[in-house]
Amino acid sequence: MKDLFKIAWRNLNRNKVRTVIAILAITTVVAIVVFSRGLILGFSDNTYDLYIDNNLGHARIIQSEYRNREALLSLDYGIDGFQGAGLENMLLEIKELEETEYIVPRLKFGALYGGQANEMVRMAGFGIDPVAEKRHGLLLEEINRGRMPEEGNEILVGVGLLDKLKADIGDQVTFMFTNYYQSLQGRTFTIVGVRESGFSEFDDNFFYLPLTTVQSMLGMEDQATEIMVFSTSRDRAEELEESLAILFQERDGTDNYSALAWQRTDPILELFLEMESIFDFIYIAIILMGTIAVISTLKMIIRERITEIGMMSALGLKPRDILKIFTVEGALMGIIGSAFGVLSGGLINLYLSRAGLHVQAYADTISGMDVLVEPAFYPVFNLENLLVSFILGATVVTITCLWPARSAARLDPVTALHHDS
Amino acid sequence: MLVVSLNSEKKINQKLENSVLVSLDSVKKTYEDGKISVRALRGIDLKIAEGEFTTVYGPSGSGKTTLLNLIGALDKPSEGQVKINGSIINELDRNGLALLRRDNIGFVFQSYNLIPVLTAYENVEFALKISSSNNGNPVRNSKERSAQILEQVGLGDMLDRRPNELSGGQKQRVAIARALVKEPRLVLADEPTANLDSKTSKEVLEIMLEMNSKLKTTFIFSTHDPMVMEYAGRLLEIRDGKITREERR
Amino acid sequence: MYLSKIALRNLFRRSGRTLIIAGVLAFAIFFAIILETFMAGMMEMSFSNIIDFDSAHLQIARPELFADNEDPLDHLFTPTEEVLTEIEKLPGFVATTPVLDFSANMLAGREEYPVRVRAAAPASFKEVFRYQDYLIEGDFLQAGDSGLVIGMNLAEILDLQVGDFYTLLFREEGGSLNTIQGEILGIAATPEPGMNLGTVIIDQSFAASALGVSSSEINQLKVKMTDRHSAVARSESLEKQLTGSLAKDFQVNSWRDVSDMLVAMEVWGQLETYFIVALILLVGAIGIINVVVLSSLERVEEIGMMKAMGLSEKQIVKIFSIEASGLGVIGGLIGAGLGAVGTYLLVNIGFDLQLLYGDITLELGIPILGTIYGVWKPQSFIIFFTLAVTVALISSLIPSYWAARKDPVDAIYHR
Ligand SMILES: Nc1ncnc2c1ncn2[C@@H]1O[C@H](COP(=O)(O)OP(=O)(O)OP(=O)(O)O)[C@@H](O)[C@H]1O
Ligand SMILES: [Mg+2]
Repeated sequence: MKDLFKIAWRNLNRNKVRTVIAILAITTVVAIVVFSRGLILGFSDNTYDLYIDNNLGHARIIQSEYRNREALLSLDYGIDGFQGAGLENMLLEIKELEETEYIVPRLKFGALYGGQANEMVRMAGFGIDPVAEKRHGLLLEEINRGRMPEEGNEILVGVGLLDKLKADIGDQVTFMFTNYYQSLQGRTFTIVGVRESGFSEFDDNFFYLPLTTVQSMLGMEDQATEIMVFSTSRDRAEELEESLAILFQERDGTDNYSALAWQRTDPILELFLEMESIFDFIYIAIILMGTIAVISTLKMIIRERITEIGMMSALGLKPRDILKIFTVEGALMGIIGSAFGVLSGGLINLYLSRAGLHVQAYADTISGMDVLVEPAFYPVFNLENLLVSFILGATVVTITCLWPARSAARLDPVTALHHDS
Repeated sequence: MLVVSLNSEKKINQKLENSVLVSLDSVKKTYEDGKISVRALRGIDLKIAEGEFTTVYGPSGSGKTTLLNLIGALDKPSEGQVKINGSIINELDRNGLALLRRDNIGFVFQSYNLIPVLTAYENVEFALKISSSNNGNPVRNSKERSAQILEQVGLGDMLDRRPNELSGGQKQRVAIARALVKEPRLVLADEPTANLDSKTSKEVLEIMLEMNSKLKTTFIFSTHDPMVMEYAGRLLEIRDGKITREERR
Repeated sequence: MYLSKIALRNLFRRSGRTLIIAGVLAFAIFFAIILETFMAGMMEMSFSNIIDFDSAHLQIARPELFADNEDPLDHLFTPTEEVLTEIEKLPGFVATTPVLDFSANMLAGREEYPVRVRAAAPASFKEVFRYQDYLIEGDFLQAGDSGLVIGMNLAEILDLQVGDFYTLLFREEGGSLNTIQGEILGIAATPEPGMNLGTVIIDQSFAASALGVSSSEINQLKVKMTDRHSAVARSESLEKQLTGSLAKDFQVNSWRDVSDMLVAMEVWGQLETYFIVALILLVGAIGIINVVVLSSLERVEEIGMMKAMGLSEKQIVKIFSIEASGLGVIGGLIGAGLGAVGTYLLVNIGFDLQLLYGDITLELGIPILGTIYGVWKPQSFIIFFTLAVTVALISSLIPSYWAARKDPVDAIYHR
């Protein structure tokens, strides 16, 4: 085997220019693969995390029927524990599960603000558990001024909403809302914090109150509309979903509640996940295009050495050995090319993972859509990507090289010897 | 009177100069190949007159090819001066050399070097077209001339064959026709018969001799085959990069 | 002449290699052409959905109406005869209809959902929009009806059926809260998702009395034209006409002004296509370099002979670049041919988006539903064909020059 590599290496050195170009072709396609994988990984990771952190958790518990009514901010589908035994108890039991890391319950409701000049501001309010939210961290991170609402009538508002209310921290605002019993109520809150998430959907419409305050003002004691359950990582979501299902079966026995892993909660995420598997074929296609240069180079090498091959097989070298010689030559080009490709693609990703790739048209498109996506691309730079791309490149090239190598191995020694170039 | 005599003297000189087609003046050629330097030619003085039929012979590695390359303006000397048809090649750049070759010199090589995608006829006509495409005025009746010269080398019925459909001798005849079609002053042939059997070699040499006498083309060719030397009008023996013997017949 | 003859014959000397590299170029072109017609089809569909169901080609209103955060009821006007004749005089005019949009909360049972109420004059509304052709249940409005036509998604989340009662809660011009009540008349499933959830349609004369405004008062005139492309320019000329000679305070928007996101999407799609095509062509370019280098290595002795015969370097470069351009042309022709077949299929059979996305397009809020049909775009054939040939030509130059610079002696003796 060592000899084979030596022979292959020398042959590749015979004509450096063509070898370099064949390697360059592989370098380019592997770099393209590294870059696109990084891009897509970055895009989907970002998107998944945005959805998970804001809405879904690793698994999301709601009343099964709430799914279609969520847009209405309906209060009819509160989670009031197993067989109505209360939210607190239910949370305690979920916390007991092995997969559970922490739990974030929320109570979502609609509210109105009647400002000056007849204008009506429609809003969505969240009752939040300050302790759980601090553990989760997202809100805390995105509070750009003030603090989290802890108790009583303290309120956290989105930065865009603050604008609409024409208010500031320390000011009081009065909102209207309908409680569980359909009666229109008004209540005055003190602004203690401002959230800036960068997404206008949140910043312009959302506000946050202590969960206990919301429960009592809506008449929904010990209830929530949704529970986000987090495990140690998003990869454990399915196990988490399973355990929750078992728990619900045992403790509740009805199918009132549904607990869905994040992958199954939002059709957009399902689409993204599906697309990811299609991309694997595209990567292979890209690399195949690059192998064309290697194959034609290899074929030329074989053509040049056709008499040599004839001689070798006349001397008793087995077709297998000839096959090996040329396959190793191709593989060598594949390995070197992939190494450089991973290197250059990795550098591009490393740079862009910090600087980001900003495209105006993309940002404009995204801002008009109803999706949670960062308006710039941040490709992921990680070793897994480099390793996978390297292995993919080297393997695909080696396998394709079997074809010209086989034709060399199959040469009839007599015709090979009398070949007239 | 004085003026006239001066003038006529000049003319005579010019004529003498003119009749010398190639002149080499203490030419040396050294190949620098990494650390080793090979002295392929070690001082050659040589004049070749128009119309001569010269053979250069010598053992392998003696410098025959090197010498022919210099005379053919394919290469430049390391020292000394090479003058072809009045131009000093030391002073020309790559393009100038190409022009000089195009307008004055035909080549025949041991390995034929025909263009495989062109037919015998096209290979010959191509040589004519190169010149026309560069200096603008098209060569008149290039078709007739190409066909005629192929006729003369005995390939009148093989005009449309591609090189891979011809034997070695036939290929070399096409190469000769190609070298001659422009009617150059000088034809250089580096071991033109090395790949041919003795019968074919003779035929090829006969053709070259015939052209030499008919068109007054100057021929210089190299060989290490004693049989081939028979045909020479002027014989130069070269050893270790020096002319060791010269003989006229 | 001979140079191109040699180049073209060389092209077929290694026909396998030629075909594969041409294949890469062909793939790039095919891909680009298909993507372009697909995108064009998608855009065509999205734009015409918006036009046919929501915006019409032109909309005429008080300038303040188009500004954000304004109460639409504050900017009413009564279209005068003058204005209407001016609109009808527009070249390409088809029909116009008055519209009065305002916001309200739709109450049904315990639930409530914010909607845009569009008060329409049923007769002319049908001439401008295609909404009424997409009813899945019930009937469209008649003049004077107190009924309501809603979209299927709204019907679903509020659990409403034809014949059910509805209440619309809104704020009157004076500022006090008021309601409109009546029966659900029809449910529509349009290809424009926005109309399926957030918009309900009511008769204009009925709405006017409920709102306490005169029945001639509206806040938009919608105009249908024969052709969407010329409509953009017409919107400007009409605005000039109305504000200039008639001295009226109007703004005229075209469909394009209300489809910012789609326009951005179009640009983005195009960028994306060009980026992918550029990557494939980059691979193709390396393939071409590879071909030129390999050919020149195979033909070293030939090149040497040509140089000995006095061919200039430029002429030798020419031979190789003609060969490479030939590769580009072959690839281009194959790609364009396949592209034409693909486009033909897309134009005539179409592509059902549900296959690709499932029901997702509804959720994304992009106005695309159902089958997309391709659009013939001759310019993309020309552009991408030229691009392929140019890339082939340019990428061949350096290796050709490299081949042509070879020392003739080395070349002849194949050192
Ligand atoms: N490019 C080169 N680089 C280094 N050395 C060279 C080169 N070309 C020729 N030589 C050397 O120069 C010497 C003369 O070579 P040349 O080819 O002229 O010999 P020749 O008489 O034509 O031999 P043959 O009969 O074998 O063709 C030889 O020793 C050869 O090795
Ligand atoms: Mg020699």
